Amino acid sequence: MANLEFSRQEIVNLTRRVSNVDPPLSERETTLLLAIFAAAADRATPVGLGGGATLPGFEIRNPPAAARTEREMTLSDLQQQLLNAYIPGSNPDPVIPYKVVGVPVGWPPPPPPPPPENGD
Amino acid sequence: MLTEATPGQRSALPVVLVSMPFMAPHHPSIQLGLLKSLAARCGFPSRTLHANLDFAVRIGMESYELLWQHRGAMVGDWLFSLEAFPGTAPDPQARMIEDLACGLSYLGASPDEMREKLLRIRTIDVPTYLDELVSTFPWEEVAVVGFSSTFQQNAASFALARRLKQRHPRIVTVFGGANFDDEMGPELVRTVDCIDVAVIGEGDETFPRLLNALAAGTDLDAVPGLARRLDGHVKLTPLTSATVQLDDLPAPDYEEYFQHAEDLGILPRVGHRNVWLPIETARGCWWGAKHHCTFCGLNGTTMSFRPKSPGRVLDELTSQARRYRSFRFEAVDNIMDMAYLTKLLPVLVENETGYEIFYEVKASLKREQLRLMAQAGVTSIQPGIESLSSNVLRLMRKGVRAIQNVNLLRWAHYYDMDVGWNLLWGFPGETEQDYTEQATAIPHLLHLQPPSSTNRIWLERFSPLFNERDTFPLRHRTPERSYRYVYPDDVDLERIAYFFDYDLEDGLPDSTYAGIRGAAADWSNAWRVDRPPVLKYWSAPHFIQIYDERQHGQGGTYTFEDTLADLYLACSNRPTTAAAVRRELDLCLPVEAVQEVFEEFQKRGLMFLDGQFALALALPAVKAR
Repeated sequence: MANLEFSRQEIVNLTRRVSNVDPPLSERETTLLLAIFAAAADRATPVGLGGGATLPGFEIRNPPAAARTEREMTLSDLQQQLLNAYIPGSNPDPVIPYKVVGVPVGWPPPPPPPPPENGD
Repeated sequence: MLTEATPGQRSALPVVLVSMPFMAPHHPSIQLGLLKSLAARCGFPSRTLHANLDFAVRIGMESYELLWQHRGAMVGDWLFSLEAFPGTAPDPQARMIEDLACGLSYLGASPDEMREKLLRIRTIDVPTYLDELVSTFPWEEVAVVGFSSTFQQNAASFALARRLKQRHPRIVTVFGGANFDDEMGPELVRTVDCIDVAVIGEGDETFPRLLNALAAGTDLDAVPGLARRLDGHVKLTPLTSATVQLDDLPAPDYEEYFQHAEDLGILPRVGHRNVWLPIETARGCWWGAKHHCTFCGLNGTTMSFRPKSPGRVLDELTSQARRYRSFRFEAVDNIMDMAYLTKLLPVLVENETGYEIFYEVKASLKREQLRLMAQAGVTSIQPGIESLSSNVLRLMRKGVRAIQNVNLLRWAHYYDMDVGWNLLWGFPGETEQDYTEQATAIPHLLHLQPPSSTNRIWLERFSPLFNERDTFPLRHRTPERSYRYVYPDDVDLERIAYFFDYDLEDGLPDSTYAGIRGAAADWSNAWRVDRPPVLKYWSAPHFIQIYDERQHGQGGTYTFEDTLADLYLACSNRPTTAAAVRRELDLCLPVEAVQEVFEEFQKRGLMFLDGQFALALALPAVKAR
């Protein structure tokens, strides 16, 4: 996987999201997370002047089966989605163009000849 | 003690059972079919005569349809009243046409055309029809003529009975049916002299016992449930409680109907008939026996619920389909037995039968129950929806909430079931808000089948609104206005009417219902196009798209992901609550936030909220699982 490039703002956003996890993280979970961030920061390579950085590529192994809870949103998220949910435009039941051309005589076709055996 | 007639005496008592206008022409009369089978089983030579068909052909099927389907002014009875009550009929000058003109608009003609048409039927068609009926049938071979009378069949039946008694005085005329239930029968016996005997209440046991007594020449006093004139008074033998077991009844005999309808060209002579065969799989109403809906007058004095066994129903469906070459069945039951959901319908599914069945049902049916019914061949239902307001439904003792009604409309539509239902108003205790809320909700429901009719409730005999005067005080109550144009002065209309005019003590003005009336009209109009309104969804895990074209030509798509998609889909199968959904989805959002989302869905017309309950309104786009 390619290196991961990220900005300072993304770190700020992530920190905010983590602080809003409900139920809140335990003290140990918070400490563990900060340690992971610190270790990651050691490996980050700053790029440019915008406060961005890159991390070496990584791979997520065994993602959790019930990913839904991670996607659960706050009420304000839901309200935002509701506001943007509607797209006008008629969607008449499509008429699928197709043509029946009939079944060829002898259908199904005869099986193809066997491939030549090695050595023939 | 009842003396049994000998087989010889029975065979010497030929019986004809007659159905007069205005009975429906497109299917046989189950009343006649059943009584014919009962009489035949007891050894009486019997036949049926669907004389209503001859009249339908005479005046034209279109006119006949308008008349038999109508449940307002008694125009059908009025047409026959001159012949039913010669010399005493109250309206020889045909004042009714002008007096009730606004109630006759359903006849669909201009006032002049309507007047001409009705007068022609009344003065030319009716007497000619009766003359032909009396002269072309071998009445001289008949000992007993039985008339079954429901809704507007009284006057035509009296008119024929009168002519028969004049020409064949030895014929015994027997009347029965819903129009003779309770005090209505004895009053008609008192005042209509061409009635020899009336059967009051269910006739399954009484009618054969009456025939037996007539054949044996014994006293009719031993037959329970009869009314007849004796020494200037009406004598009523004690009624028995309705105890007949429906499994003991024979299958109705419809042979003559098909022969007659095909002879007259009403039905085509074809190998496979597409006629809805009436079938009775239960009598009474299990809901009404517990909580009588306040406006319902059906069942009269026999509310107790008595179903046929599932095995018997299966046998009858098979034998009637084979006998009459039709696979369509119209259950005449007031309500389907819920036990059939586990004991009858699964067998129909397993047997892969090809029936189409109509049932009246309770509106609380769930999605899986409707799916089973559809798989079993129930293609048409009448669920008694009546209102989309939980408060009004509570007032009418319906035992369902508005949201259950909406859910039934949803899944019935999904499973391609035709739903016949009415939107009613005029219930004691209702509020203006009940109707503004319904008028607001209806535009969100346009993708569901609209009501067949909308109207103020009728006041029907036997209903709680009629009987419970203390609970439902009325400012006034009189027999529906048109009765007085049909029956002579000596008939006590209070005792023979089924429909009544009334004013509630606390009734709302008609203007209250303008909004819901208009919304319902828009709903019906929206379905009078090639492409009815649509609200459907496609879904994948945590993702849903809802296509909304409830307003013609104004389509659009909602896309919801993750929690929003999960919330919507959790409310699709059945009504549920924010708290239940939160638990089911194991959400961290507080209940109040879930409720707030539901309200947002409602604002977009995507959900129906009813108290604490919520229901998604869109239906799956993929048919039908």
